[in-house]
Amino acid sequence: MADTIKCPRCAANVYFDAASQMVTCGFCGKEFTPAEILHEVDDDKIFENVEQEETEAPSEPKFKRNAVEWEKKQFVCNSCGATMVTDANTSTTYCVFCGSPAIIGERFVGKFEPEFMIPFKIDRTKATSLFFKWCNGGLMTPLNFVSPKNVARMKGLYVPFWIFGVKGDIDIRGTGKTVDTRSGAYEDTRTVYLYDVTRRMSVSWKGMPFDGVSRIDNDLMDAILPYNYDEMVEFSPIYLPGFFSEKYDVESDKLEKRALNQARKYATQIFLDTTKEYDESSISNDLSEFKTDDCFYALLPVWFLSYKYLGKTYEFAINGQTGEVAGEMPQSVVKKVLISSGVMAAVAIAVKIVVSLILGGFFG
Amino acid sequence: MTNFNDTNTNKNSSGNTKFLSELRGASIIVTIVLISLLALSVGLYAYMQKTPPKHVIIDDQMDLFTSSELDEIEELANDLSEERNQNVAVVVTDDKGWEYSDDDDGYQAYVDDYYSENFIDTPFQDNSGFIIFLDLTNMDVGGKYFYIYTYGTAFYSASDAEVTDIFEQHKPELRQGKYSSVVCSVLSELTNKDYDFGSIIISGAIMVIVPLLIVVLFYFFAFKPKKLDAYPDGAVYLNAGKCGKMEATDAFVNRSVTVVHHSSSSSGGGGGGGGGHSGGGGGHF
Repeated sequence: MADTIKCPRCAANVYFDAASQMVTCGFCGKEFTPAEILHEVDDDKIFENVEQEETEAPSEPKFKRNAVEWEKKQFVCNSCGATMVTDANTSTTYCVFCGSPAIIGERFVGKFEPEFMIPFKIDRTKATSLFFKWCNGGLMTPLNFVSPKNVARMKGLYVPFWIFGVKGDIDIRGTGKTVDTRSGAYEDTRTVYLYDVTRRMSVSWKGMPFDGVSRIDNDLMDAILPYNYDEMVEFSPIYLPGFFSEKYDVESDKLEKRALNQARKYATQIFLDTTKEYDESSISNDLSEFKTDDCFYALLPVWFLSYKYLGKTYEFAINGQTGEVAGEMPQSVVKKVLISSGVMAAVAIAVKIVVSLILGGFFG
Repeated sequence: MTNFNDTNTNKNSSGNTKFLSELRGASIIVTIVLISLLALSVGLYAYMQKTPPKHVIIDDQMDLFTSSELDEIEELANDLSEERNQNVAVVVTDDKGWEYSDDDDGYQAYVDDYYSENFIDTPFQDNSGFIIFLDLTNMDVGGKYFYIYTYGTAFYSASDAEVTDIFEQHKPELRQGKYSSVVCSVLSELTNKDYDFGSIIISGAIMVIVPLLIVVLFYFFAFKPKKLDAYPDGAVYLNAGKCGKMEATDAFVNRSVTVVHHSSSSSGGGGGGGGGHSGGGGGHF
């Protein structure tokens, strides 16, 4: 059984409104603060159907798409009783029949229970306007790309992130070089001073997020970081209705290497930043050691939009808290050809004029 | 990356995969403007490629030539014009006007203006041609002036050096006053001279290759997709309270000195090349 959060006043479905940061009843319009709803609705009550009503698809169907094997599961909508089919990681969705938010409780329990989350702060309207601004109103994109029909497909998703803390000791050795050049009337003198440079420092980074969904492009997620953790709250399903969510399918130990690699890059940057007094500096030996000292699971808000153009799927992400937009913008072939042709014609005219002026007359 | 849910995919993919389908929609004005600009540019280029009809002017302001000489000159001038697709003028004057000085600059400015007034009636098109100019204002020895003026592709028929050669060859005849004979002879020589097809081909190639090269570079750089931002800077996640103090050691290793002695000789700067323009050659006789 998929769960929904009901209005304490009229028992209709409630939704979390990112703009007002209130939980709103879709029927009576009553607004509640998340705290009020939590007071009225017990978390345990929300997930009361966990491990009871979930039904596997009878034949346990497995589909193969793009060589990735994934599983679909069936759930029953708590509001209308219809059967919903979701993929293996979807944890919050909508019932396709009645449109009710559907929280799949079993995907939030045990090791899949997030410790923290950042509720959506950017609502659909704001996300849409940020998206339009980012793509310059579709100046160079295909015309359909910025159509209301396409932008309406934007989807708010709580993405599972593993958030790491890394500590360690920087111990980097290298060389620093300063060059002094003096020009005189009779000779130029170039003096190169060479130094052995060592930088040591114990260091700690906290809150480094890495997404735990294999299907999401890591570079796309990196591009919308960072999040402001001051607005992070303890996980509560109250913030889920009205958005989609996923549970992780990449374990934290698989991401640990990424976190340590990132720490190593930061260490290199610290070395370079602290050897800026040299004209050139380079690393000869990096003896730094790092280890993760903290890791927790959190849901972070992201607006997603995908667009298919000439056989390629373009993915866009908007940070649901800060509004940072990232993605590869599709460029209209028609506009590119028209602009290039125009440039070519203009250059051809310019070249013809220049050549003609040089030769003292226009000619064919 | 796979889409999260079918609701987020573009179901109308059949329409989107055909690139011309994007010509629908409200932003069609943008496309119309682009097409108009393109059509305008192509139209202008096509107009510039058009060759206007050429004509011949025999302007004997001094009645220097007899009618039979004039007929012969006109016939030869027409031959040159038709054969080489050039405007041709034969101008004889003893009154350039007060605004033109009696030196090389004055004569050439007069011919330049004469050509512009009489032949350049279609801007941005091929108005190439020749003027054979004879100034007999000063009839003293060395005071008369003969000039062969070239404009546009006429240069490919006779370069400045070649017309100067032609003048030098005919200088004795000019001194003897055989003007008609010289003019006829020059017209024939210009008709029968070989075109410098190599230069024409190079010029034509420049006009095709340069725009193509520039548009390829433009296409590559202007439409280069923007890179995604990298993972945030380390300072964002630095836990300053748990970081130690930086231990920096900088030990001097060595110093190397390279001295480059200047050469004692010095040289002056060279002069710059001038831009080309209409050409020609000739001089006093």
